[in-house]
Amino acid sequence: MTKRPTDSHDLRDTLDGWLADALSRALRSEQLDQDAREALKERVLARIRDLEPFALRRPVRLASAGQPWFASEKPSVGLPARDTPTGTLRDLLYANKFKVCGNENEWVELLRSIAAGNQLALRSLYERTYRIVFTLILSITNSFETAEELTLTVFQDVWRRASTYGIASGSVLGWIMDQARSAAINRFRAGDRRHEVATLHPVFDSESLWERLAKRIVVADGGEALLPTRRDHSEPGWEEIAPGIACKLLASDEENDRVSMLVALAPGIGYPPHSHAGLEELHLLIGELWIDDRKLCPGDYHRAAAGTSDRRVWSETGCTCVLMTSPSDVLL
Amino acid sequence: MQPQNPERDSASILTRGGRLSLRGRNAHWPKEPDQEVLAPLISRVAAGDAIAFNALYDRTVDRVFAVAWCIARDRSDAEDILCDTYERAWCRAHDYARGRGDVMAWLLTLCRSRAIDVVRRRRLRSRVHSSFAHREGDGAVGEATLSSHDFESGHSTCQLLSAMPRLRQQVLALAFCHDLSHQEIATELSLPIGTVKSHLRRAIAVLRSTLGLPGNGAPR
Repeated sequence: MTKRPTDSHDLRDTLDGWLADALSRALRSEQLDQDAREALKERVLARIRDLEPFALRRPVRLASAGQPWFASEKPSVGLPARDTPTGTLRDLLYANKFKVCGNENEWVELLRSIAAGNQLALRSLYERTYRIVFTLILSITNSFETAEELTLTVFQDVWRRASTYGIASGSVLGWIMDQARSAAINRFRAGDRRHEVATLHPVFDSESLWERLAKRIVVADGGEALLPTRRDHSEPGWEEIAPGIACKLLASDEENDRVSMLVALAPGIGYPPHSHAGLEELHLLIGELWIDDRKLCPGDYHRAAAGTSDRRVWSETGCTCVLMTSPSDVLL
Repeated sequence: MQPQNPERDSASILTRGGRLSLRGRNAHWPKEPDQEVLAPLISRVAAGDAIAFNALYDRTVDRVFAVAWCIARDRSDAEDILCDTYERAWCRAHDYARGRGDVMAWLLTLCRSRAIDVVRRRRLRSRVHSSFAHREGDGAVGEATLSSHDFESGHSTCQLLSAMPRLRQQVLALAFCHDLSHQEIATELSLPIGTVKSHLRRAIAVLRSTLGLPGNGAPR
């Protein structure tokens, strides 16, 4: 009884869902009343909305598939003309009570602590980014196991190489995403990537992945692994900044005029045409996205230099991406 | 424990022939796993249909919760497990829709394996933070039998269980309610591992055949 045996799989196999059901019916158990049932449903729905802000509004079938709105004279879907925002991206992001949550300095500070060997800082960074990292790797490798494995590798590399991060490497999130992307591409690129998981939420156990990560670090460095603690990081929420466009602001860096965020577009929605005030980088996580004449699939990377502009950014399927750009982008 | 003559009791259940009704005493439980209703729902959920997801939840939540509670034995853990289960169901519905098998069983399997993760982590934590003796005091392993107090009286599964030899009940309880592996049960009860396995195998076979559960083609 002192050691966790490895043969526990036999139980999962023999006592499957049916037997669990039969036994649980025979056993005296607590029951849910109507209120509790509804309250729990709300919790479930809130969680799902946190994964994909538009998920629960997703139409079963697209009204008119195939035709991008810009193919016709007048956009049939997309932003209603009068709501089309103008000004800069900053106006849009920080308009009405948009809380400035993640500050880039916090991220840099975390990396500094990690470089000094602080496991809690790594844990905190992991909390903030594991979903995105995992989802990106999954969409490139198309394999759940590989994605888990590579996610571990990426965070282990972050642990080892945190001291090499410099301001020239771009935002911390971008630096991590680059590592995730090259790790995934180095492994392999699957031919058909479109069938895999279509949610931001990796369906894996983030706690046990953390345990594995902590163990690996201990094996490499010695010392003691930190046991899973309750998550201390409160995730920023999605904010719908325009109809069908939601943002989750992860880090803003006013000094360098840079912002890192998750952007979700509802199906059939276009992002307003804009010109770039600084370098724009985009990692597509879920869904498909058209940027002018280029069609991006999950796992694709798009880079646009300062001074260029994107006229047609549009998603037929709805999409979620990581976007690192300048808040001074001008909306045309 | 009421049934004084286990032999006769189990015989009388078996001679009723065919399958016993799985219906519990609680009226809100769906009568049978209604695959015809759930299967179309799950494919709509896979397409991101919120209404179908609502309907799926309403039809299945009680049984999912019961399984979660029975394994975790704690209200708030069970609620977390339930949320995780449906979150996973939402994320993995498109995976499932391509596969086969019974929707209810799939959900319950998701729930069960999540519940086991939670219980294992709880044990792992308590192992580190408190002494072994401490945990014994919690009744973690020590008094692991299914006593009549644990049962809904008059339930068919319950009659079946109480008709089993006490040792077999104990093995089943350790495996199901306490998530011990074969080896751990053997150590706990000072039995050879082969005996544990055969007890478990027989108990499961009886439950399966008498309750009319699907055989080994169990859902993953």
